[in-house]
Amino acid sequence: MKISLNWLNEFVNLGGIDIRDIVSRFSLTTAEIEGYEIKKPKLDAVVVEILTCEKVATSNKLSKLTITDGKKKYQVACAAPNVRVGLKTAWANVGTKVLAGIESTGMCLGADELGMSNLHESIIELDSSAKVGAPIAEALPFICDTIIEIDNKSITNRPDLWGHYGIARELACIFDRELKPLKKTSLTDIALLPEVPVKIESDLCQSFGAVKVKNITRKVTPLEMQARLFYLDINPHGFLVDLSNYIMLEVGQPNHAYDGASSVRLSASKGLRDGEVFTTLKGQVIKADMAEEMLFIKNNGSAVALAGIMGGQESGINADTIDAVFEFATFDSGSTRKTAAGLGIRTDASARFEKSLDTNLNLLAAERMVYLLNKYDKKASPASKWSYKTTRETKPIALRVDTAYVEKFCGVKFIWKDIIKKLTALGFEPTMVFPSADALDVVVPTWRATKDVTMQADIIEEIVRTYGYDKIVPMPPRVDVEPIAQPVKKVLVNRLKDALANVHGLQEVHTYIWSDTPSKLKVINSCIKGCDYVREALGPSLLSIIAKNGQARIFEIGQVVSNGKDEHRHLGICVPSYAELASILRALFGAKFKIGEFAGVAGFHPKNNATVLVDGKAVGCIGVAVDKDVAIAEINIDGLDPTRVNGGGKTFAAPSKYQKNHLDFTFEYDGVYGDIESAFDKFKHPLNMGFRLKDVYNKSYTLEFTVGSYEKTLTAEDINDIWSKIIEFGRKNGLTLKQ
Amino acid sequence: MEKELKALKTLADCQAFHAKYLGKSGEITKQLQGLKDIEPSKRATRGAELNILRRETEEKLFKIQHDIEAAEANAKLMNDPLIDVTNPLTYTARPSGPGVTPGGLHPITQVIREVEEIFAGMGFIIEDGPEIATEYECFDALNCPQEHPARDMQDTFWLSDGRCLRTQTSAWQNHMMKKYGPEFRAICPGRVFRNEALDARHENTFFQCEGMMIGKDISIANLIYFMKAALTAVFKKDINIRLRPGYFPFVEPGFELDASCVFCKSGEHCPVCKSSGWVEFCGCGMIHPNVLREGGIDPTKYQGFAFGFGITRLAMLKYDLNDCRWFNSGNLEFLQGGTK
Repeated sequence: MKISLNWLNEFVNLGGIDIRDIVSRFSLTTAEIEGYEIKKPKLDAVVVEILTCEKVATSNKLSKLTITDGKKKYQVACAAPNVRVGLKTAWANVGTKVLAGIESTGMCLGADELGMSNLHESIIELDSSAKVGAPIAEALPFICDTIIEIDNKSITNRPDLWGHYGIARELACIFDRELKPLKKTSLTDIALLPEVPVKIESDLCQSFGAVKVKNITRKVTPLEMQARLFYLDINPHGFLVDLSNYIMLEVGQPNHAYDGASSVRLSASKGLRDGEVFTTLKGQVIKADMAEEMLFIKNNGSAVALAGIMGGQESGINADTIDAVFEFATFDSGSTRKTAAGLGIRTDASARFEKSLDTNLNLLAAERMVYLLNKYDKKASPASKWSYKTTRETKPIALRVDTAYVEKFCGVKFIWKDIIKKLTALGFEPTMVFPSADALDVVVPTWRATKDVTMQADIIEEIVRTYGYDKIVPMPPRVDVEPIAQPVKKVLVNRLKDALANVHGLQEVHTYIWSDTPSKLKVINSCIKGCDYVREALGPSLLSIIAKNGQARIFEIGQVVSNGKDEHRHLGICVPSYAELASILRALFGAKFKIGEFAGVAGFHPKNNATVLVDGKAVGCIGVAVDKDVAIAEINIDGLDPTRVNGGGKTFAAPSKYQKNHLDFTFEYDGVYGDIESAFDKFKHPLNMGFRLKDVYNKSYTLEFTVGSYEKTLTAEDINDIWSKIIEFGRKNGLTLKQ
Repeated sequence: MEKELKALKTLADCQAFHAKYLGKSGEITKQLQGLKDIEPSKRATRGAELNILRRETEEKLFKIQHDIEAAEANAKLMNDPLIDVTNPLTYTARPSGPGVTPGGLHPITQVIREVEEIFAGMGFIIEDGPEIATEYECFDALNCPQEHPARDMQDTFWLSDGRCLRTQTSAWQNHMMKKYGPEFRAICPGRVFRNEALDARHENTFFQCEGMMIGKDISIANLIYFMKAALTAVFKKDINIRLRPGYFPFVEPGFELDASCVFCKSGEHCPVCKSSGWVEFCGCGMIHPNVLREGGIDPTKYQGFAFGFGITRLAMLKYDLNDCRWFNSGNLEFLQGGTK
């Protein structure tokens, strides 16, 4: 939102304060300022007086003028309709050229050429007291301004800051300056006039007020008002429309004007009549069937405005309006937001109503508007009394804050009389509860009481932000020292990543959680069409990295879903060699494999694939990805024991002091080694100290058994016994000893 | 025709079928050509029917062909030798020697590790939450009711089952409070998602780190202390921090935290802080009483602070990158890094 410094100065004297201080103190106390811009006249113009004026015969628009800047006379051709002798206007010496056969030096300027409005029908009309030859900024001081831009997101919780007066109140508090009262014309002491009938027929309208004004003759908006609106990105249209916008930007109350030539009976209610069609000012058509939950303003029963959002095409005022009815209302924030978002229309009005406005703003804005109307159009006068209905009036909130708690919460010892002064400047009414002074009673002003300040923590924020966050001294807390057990899942991930990167030489990658492989869970509002399934595996993402980079050694640990609901953490690995992949998993988890279970799975080699087993439990799969010719692993690591990663979790025991013997057996078997291994894993004998595969040749597997005892040196009988038991155990399991 | 489709066994069968129905003089093609002789009033309907038939038949045939091809390719692969991965002697050594790129951790992981070590050193638990969140976890439990405008502030990826991809690591706050509360301190680094168009400064997938500390008398002064200590450790320089008012529904009061810029060189324009001397670093605040209550913690007895900062942004600052898209690019030349 843009804010004019000139406008603020009308309510709080900020003289002598550097703009950079305003920006920084406001940012530190209230809300973020995105930047500021200095406005100056676009051209280097001075005040001139028209001495002679005659129509140019060869042109139907041009006049030939003689002007003076006090030092010299110039001849100027000008097409404006309002040229006349004696008029003081703005002129810039931009060089001499010939127009319609007339030599013309410089140009007389309109408001648009000075960069302060979009209007260009006429040249500037200055007051007769303007000093000829003076720079234009002296005659029109408001042409120079500083426009501050506040980050809208940082004031979503502050409905009171959506107008200049609210910002002025903050600055008055920050810089300890006086906030001037808003000049208004009271509407409550003109009770003798008739009412404008207003009616609230839906809870979505919290309050609804109207006032009629007659004899409005002014059409052109005063230049100062034009400049302020224009600098804040609102193009001037005409006096009444501009005034309506001006009031909104000044006090934050959106409002609407209706032509008052015929009788006006206003009401706020939901929905449209059967067959009724409402067309917004911007041409959006709303039919009765879509309007059931929308709030409308109706005049004599017909919808004339989409409440809080936008007027209709036929409701408004026009250039001929002499009598007008002004509406000031408060609408439900949630409903305004929903309707506006649903229709995709966001206006300055809806942005404000969405923040939950104070119902007391209605009368304030109306009284300010009548004051300004009168100021600029002496003949205009109220033709009705203030006609007002309310269903949910905003009331001040009374809160009590515990001073000791506030100090503990902030970690600061406050000087409470300073705090009371700051809160008062913001419109709060704080009273220390005596004699103990252990609590502060605070009445929250209505403009902060709609939802922003409703509890003790909110008051604490007011106290500490106006005190100054920068004055808080950092302090370590006092805490009990306790051992901290870091969550197992996190430890597992860290250990795996270290082993994969450092021991196995793999590069970690990150890929997106969505994929183009269909799954049961979909992102419904993805901007990436076709790639909006929540992935069930990391594999496809890793393969796409291989496709981009060529052969590589990569891994990812990331989230996937199964059954369209359960989230799991997977480890995916991609390396060129299938045999190496298996050895990585053996090293990482002590994994074992069961071959051939993924024969039918798309992309997997029908033969070279296997289930990965950890402690006998299937946790994933490995295989050769056929089209990329790489090996890929996909392991669900939920529930794996981090202490055992990469050979961890070992036990240690003193070796036997007696000699061990190694016995070799070569078995013939037409199958994979895993079968032999799982068979001999079950072999039990008191002297068995384990076995390993020593050699494989042509379906002949040589196993080396270690045999020994902790109690004695083995005798020939001992060895013979276990020797024959091993051979027999092999035979029972289909393994023939090679002779 | 359906029966014939089912009977197709080889690619040659498929070709024959195509010629019979869909080829230049196939039956469907002929009927389409014959449309011009049909009474004009019926032509449009019949034409539409035929076109649908042609398209559907083509699709079915294509799928059958595809399946046959896949089966044939599979049959061929069955001739490949079996690699016995159950045999520990079947081993290919990891490539080594000069020219071989060593493995490495993703740059984001390295930054997360650093942050984790700093906070673990200060006695924080390192938590780890899921990436899919319920609406309750991501919004309701964080004091953002249905109508709350804060729900608009984040562009959420919604899932078909009503859940969402978490837009902030704060989605794990409720869980942490229930698991460790009422008195604890923990951080939760993780990946978050926002429905945004990608550009150099915006990713739809990036990393954040959430932090919480709750106790009987945790204060704003404590929050400032921890953030200053943590940032000083991260940047290995004495960092000043300042708080500004910030609005986040789950804290009250809420702050924007700025860190003094470590990149400014005297006399030069600083592109990082635009020579303001301050870098916007994170959102933080005192945990809102409603959020504590949702987490099963009595706000009249306990209070605490929470913060959330961007790990991805921190990584960009640390590695002096001006495009956040590199992290998810899968570009190995980038990920493997270099030496300075």
